[in-house]
Parts: sequence; structure tokens; C-alpha cells
Amino acid sequence: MKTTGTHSVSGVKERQAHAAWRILEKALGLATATVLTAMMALTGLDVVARYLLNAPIKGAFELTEILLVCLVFLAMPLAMLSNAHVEVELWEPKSAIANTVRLALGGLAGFLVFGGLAWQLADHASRLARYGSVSNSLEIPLNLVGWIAATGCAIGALVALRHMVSSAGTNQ
Amino acid sequence: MIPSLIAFLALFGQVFLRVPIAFAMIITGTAGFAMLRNWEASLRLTGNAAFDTVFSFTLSVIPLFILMGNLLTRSGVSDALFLTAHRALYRLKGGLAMATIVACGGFSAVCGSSLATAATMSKVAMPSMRKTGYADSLATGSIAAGGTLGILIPPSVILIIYGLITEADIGKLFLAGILPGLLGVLFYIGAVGVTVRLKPDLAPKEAAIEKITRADINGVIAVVILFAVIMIGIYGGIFTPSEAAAIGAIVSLLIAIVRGNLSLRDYLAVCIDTTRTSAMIFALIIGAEVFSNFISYAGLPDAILAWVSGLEVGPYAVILALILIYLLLGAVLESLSMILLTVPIFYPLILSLDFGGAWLGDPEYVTIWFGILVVVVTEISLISPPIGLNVFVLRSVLRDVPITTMFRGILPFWVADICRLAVIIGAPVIALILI
Repeated sequence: MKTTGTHSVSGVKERQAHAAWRILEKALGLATATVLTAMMALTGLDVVARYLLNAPIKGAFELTEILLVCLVFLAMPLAMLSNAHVEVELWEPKSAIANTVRLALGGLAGFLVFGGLAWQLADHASRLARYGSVSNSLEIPLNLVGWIAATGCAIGALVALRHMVSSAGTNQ
Repeated sequence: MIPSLIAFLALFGQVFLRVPIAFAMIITGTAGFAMLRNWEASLRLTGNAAFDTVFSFTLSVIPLFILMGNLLTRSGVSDALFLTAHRALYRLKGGLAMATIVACGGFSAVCGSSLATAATMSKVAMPSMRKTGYADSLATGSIAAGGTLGILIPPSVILIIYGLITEADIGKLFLAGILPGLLGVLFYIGAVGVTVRLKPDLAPKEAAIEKITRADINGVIAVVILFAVIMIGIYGGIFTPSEAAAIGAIVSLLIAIVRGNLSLRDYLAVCIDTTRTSAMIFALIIGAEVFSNFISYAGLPDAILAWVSGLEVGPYAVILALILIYLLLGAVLESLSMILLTVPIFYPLILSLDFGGAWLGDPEYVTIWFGILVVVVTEISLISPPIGLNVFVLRSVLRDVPITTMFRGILPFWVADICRLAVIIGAPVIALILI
């Protein structure tokens, strides 16, 4: 993904952009790691509380569900950033142009999927807000969860867009 | 039928152009549904599928089991397993390769992924086998094949996903995986034995073995206890698979801390790695959901069901045909995607077959048995050319061993796998007796 700028101005801009992406990656990583730890601790504590203290944690079930949504949709752009999504490597592009086309296609597919999902999830979230849907026992507004998912997908779409743009750069 | 076929062609076209499989499934499924209905309904369906699939307590089991495996990998219990297994087997010719298989089996009991098992064991077993003078083919073959046990011996991410698609009980699927997994260990050991008998120079006589420390023994005991707690807990109805996974992850965290090699930085890295893998898996699950929504709407499962019932062939002929399809598909598709794509189509067909007999009279048993068969076939696909993923994982760790050497080394294990598959088809009792 790296392109080396020869002009000093674009080089500085490039480095700044690069740093911005690094910060985004760090922030997403920290956020998902925290959510994962919370999920592990919550479910573990719930079992202990249920059997040893005979007092299950109120709403542990739905909290886990909400945490899972946050985890998955915030980790989606993270997987996108490090190209972790599974592809089948039956074909190895031989020429630079073919490789550019391949990278651009992958980026375009990611952009379509995440862009579309962000749009639909935002739509879903605003519907949840209109109906005033809340979770069963803790009454957490579900539209918040929807918006988090939509945000994760929107970031994913941005990452995909960046892949597309930088795929054009690799050829030069 | 025609829309489904076009969709499959479009899907494979994108996959061939190296569009990530999850994206290809979402795009094809959404576009296909839009062609049959309209874009508005289709887009909304896709959005809902993405949200509702992830908004699930049951599925929290996936990141938690992955976290558990990753923490244990980091804790170094794999070394302890390998040393202990070698201690027991060093007198046999090919003992190191056999120990690799046993250690893989042991690690599979706490790790739900074949790729992770192969990657972990390659770092542990390969240096010893190299030092002793094992041929690269036998060494890499035993690691790649042993690693496949990760998805069969519980816990198993693939069995969880299969349970999700077919609504089979995950605890029972886990139990059903135990004996076929142990059978795999035995057959692989047999494969090593036959190989070194036919070609004695592949495995030199072994020198003195390394000392086992108290910490190693504790490591092995910890793995055994962890496995027992998970299985008894799930089977005894004490906790759900998700809760077992959370407890397993917490215990693994403690093991890693006690063994003294986990800093906060490491822990964060393990967590981020886990979430990334989980995101990749969930992307596939969402993709498969969207794609199979469309395929079902287009009527493909019904069409296949009607077509096969029209053929009037016996149930075992159908099973054999399906296994052949899986072996072919497995050679070109990634394992999780293959299961997510095919099980919704084949599963109704399997349920419609009348196997009779003591074990396969109950549809629940047929479901579980078929699940185990699918996993064993998937294991085979993980070590089959051209894209056996375990081989590629090994290749990324051991850059100096050519792919062809690895596939040559795998051949005996591949044969052992086919034998095991035949045994489980012929004797479903092996999978079903523990349930």
C-alpha cells in the first residue's frame, strides 16, 4: 500500500495521511480489544455470579449481544486495513496493470459492500430510533447500536476507497 | 435454477479475480435478489441480515474461543504438549513426527482453528525435527496434517458455524467430534509409521530427549483440565458454549500470565488479532446469509432436492457424490466459505434421505453425522493441492521449504484421511456414540 513520494510537498502530505491512518488503526484496535475484554469479563462474571452468588447479572445476555455488534463492526475496517479478508489465490497477476486492476477491483467491491451496508445500517438505525426500540431489560436504545455498526461500515468504505486510490499509485 | 447458476458463475468469477469471498457473496446475493424483486427490498434485506446476524448471543462464542486459542498459543503450552508427547513416543521410529501429531491433537482440544494449530505447531515442532535430521517432507507433512485436527477436535469454529446453519446442538456436535478426531490422530501416527518403514532415511534415529520441566507438566495438566471443564460444562448444561468460551478465555489468560510471558502489550496484540480474525469470519457469515437468502428465494435447494429424488439412487450414493463435490470444491475454495455456501443447499437433501439403521434413523443424528463428515472433508481440503490453506500457512512460517516438498510429505496423511472418511461413513457410530 505504500507509495514513496518523490516531491517533498506530496511526501509530507503522504506522511501526514499515513500517520492519520495509523492513528485510526490504533484507535480501532484499542476499541475492539476493550470491547472483547469486556465481553469476556462480563460473560465470565455472569457465570460466577449465577452459580456462586446465585444472582445473575441483569441484562448480561443483551449486553453481550450489543458488545458483539460493536466488536464485529468496529473490527471490520480493521480487517480491511490489514487486508485480512479471505480471498482465493488461484490467480497471481503477472503484469503491473493486471495487479492494479485486481487491487482496484478488490477495493471497489469493499467500497460497494461497506458503503451499501453503512447506508442501510444508518437507515435501520433511524428506523429503530423512530420506533423507540430498546433492549429488553436494560432498555438501552438500540438505534445507538445501529449507528455504531453504520459508523464501522462507513470507516470500512473509506478504507476501501483508499485501497482503490493507492492501487492506482502502485503502478507508477 | 437459471438465476442461481448465473449467480454462482458471477460469484466464482469475482472470487477468481481475487475479490474477497465475503464481499463477492454480499454483492452477488444482493444484486441477485434485486433482479428477482427490486433494489429497495434487496438492499434493506442485506442491511437487516448484517445487523441481525451479528446481534446474537450465540455467536459471541466465536471471538471468545478464538481469543482462548490465541492466548494459549501465546502462553507456550504447545511446547509443553510437544515435549511430553515426545517423551512418550521417542522410542518409536519417526517418534518426533508422531509426537507432532499427538501434540497437534492436544492443542486442537483447546484451539478451534486448523490454521492456528498448524502455525503454532510449526514453530514448536519444526526446529526439533530439523535438528534431528528429519526430511522436510515428513516434518512439514505431519504438521500440516496434524494441524487439520483443530477444526474437528472440539472446540471448533467450523462445527459452531455448521450448528448455526443447521440449528444442531453445538455441545452435541463438539462431542461427536472427539472420537473421529482421536481416530485421526491414530491414523496419522499410522501414516508416519508406514512412511518411515518404507523410507527409513526420512527419519533418523533419535538422540537423547530434552528434559521436561515441572512447568511443562503443569502446562499439559492445564490443557487437560481446560478441555474437561469446557466439555463437561457444555454437555452437563452448566453453561452455554459462549459461557464456556468466556471461561476458557479467562483461564487461558491466567495460564499465560502464570507462565510468565504475557505483557499488557502482548495481550492487546492478541486481542486485536482475535477481533480481526472474528471480523473476517463474521464478514463471511453475513455474506453467506445474504447469498443463501437469494439462493433459497431462487429455489435452488428445492430444485436440487427434486432432481436428486427423481434420480432414485440410494442414500449412500448421494453421500458419496456430495463428498466428491466437497473434495473438488475444497481444492479451490477456502474452507469456511465452502461450508457456508454449500451446507444450506445440501442439508435439506441429506435430511430427505432415508438411511435406516440403528444410528441414522433420527434426523438429529443424521445432521450431526453429516456435520462430522463435512468437517473431515474440509480437513482434507486444507491439505489438498493447489490451495490447501494449512500448507500455505506453513509456507509463510517456513519460507525455505518448497510447496511441492510439502505436498509430497502430505500424501501419506492424505491417504490416511481418505481411510478415516471411509470408516466414519461406514460406521456412523464412531461419531454418534458419545452423544
